[in-house]
Amino acid sequence: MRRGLWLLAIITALLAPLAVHAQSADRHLLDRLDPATADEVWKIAETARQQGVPYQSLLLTAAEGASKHAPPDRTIAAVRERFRALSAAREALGAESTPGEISAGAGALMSGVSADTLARLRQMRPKASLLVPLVVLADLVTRHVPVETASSAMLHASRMGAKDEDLLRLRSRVESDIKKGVSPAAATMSRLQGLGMSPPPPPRAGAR
Amino acid sequence: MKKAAGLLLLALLFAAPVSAQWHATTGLAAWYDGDLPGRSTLRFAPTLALDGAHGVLIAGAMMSGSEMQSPYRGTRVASSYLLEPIRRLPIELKGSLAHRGGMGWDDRGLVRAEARLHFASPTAGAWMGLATEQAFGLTGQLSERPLIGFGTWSRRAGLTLSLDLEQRAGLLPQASSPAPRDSVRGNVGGTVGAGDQPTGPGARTQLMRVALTTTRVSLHWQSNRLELESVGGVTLSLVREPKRWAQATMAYAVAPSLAAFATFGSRDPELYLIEPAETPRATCGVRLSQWRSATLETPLVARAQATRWRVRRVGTDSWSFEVRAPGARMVELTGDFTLWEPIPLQHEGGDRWEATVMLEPGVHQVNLRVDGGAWMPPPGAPTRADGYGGTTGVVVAE
Repeated sequence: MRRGLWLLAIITALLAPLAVHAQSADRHLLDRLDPATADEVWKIAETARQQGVPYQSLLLTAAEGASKHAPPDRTIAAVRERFRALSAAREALGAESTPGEISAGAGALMSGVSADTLARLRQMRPKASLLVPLVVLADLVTRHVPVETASSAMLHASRMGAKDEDLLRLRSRVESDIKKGVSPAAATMSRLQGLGMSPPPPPRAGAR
Repeated sequence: MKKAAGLLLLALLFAAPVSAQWHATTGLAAWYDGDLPGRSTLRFAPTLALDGAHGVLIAGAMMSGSEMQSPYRGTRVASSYLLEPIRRLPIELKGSLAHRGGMGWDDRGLVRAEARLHFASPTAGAWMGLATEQAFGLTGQLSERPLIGFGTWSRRAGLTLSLDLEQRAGLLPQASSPAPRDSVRGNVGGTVGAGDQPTGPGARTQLMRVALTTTRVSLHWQSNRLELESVGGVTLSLVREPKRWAQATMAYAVAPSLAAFATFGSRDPELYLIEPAETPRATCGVRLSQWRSATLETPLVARAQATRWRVRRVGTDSWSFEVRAPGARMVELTGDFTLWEPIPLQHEGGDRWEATVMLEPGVHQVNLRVDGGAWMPPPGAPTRADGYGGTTGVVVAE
């Protein structure tokens, strides 16, 4: 028993510097921020880390703000918004989701998609990766496809067993149609049919 | 001298993106000009530019002074903005305001507004436009009819050829007596006409506003450091002989923000408003500017842009990003995997640019920038909101 405690202490002593080094490297991402903003962002990241949320994504959001010369308030607001989205995405997709899925889910939430849509997507693809469906969903909403239409289309495609390549092709064709002047909603529905999938029933009122 | 040093410092310091979509830079040019026999002029031209994906706004000034004439100053604000394409046809709105004045000079200026409809592909295009102008402080009748313009351009491997026909307002010197409203007294050498031609005592010149029709051909080539431009044309008006003019410019970038330049020749007469000399001249100087596309003469739609984007895995965690950008001089990318620091892509010949980066599995954000313009999502890539009011491209690494 005593030998075991000694072994644990030695391993802890050996690993502690590594943990400190990793934290120091993470903190380095905030070098381009002013000290007060960096401290505030670091506090948010610490909270995220304790909650099991991918906190490095928050540090990168802050680095993005520094790169875009965003004012400190804006940077902190963006980091907080990302933290909320990451937490909500983790809750909707499940704690077993990969950091990539949680990050993609957060992107979809920040684009206006509802947490309920994320949870339903997870139900339909419990074991398969949700990276591509979430990225495509966020992209459609960013291209002004109404949230209800985009969510409904993505849920329908997933229900019909669409593969990632099908979803990426759908996205690309919708983008092309929108550039030609087709309305985003019409482009999404017609391209969904083009994939051999009958259009989903109209979205429920108030659904997102 | 202090003022010049201050302007120089300002030009060097003020160069920053003002938002995700707009980038502000300043430039300062100073040159010694030998345009008039036996006398020379020192000129300063600070410039502020807002350069975005859909528009450019340039505010420039010129200050001139010599021992032979009163100092004068000129300012010009010009903007160009691309509206969302209608049926894939971009519409460009252009506006400009030019003013000239100074101690002993009458204030005069010109406001111009123009709309252009473009038919453009990545390597060639044509446009047609309608413009209207309002003048102040000028003599001469202003035509009520809209001014028209047509143009075409083509771009291949850094070489841009354009041909334009454009109606503009012009100011032409016209000898008259007695002294007209626009005449001014120089501080040395008696009366000097506003046309700024070398005049002897007693000679007087009046500026007259006329409609000018200019046919212009320009050839522009740029490599990483060297920039060559040749512009020539014929300007017609009802009140005088056709005027042929041509100017050649060479600039060499000693450093990213410092270029030495030399020009020879004369520009089209519309420049009278700010730069009145008509005779050919030789100019040399330095340019301090981080902005590389300091002209509105090339249509905005003709600016280099990324046209294709391809991502492929080339190793366990390494991915190749390939960008096609015809006519581009520099392509950079940034994203979470570069810690949002710009990294340049390698020019692989033709319009192909490439970079290989390490990507951990997951979703990554990426943006591209061509020729120092605005950061944009790569063409054809999925996008998402970035939390800062803009959008970024997305790459899925699985």
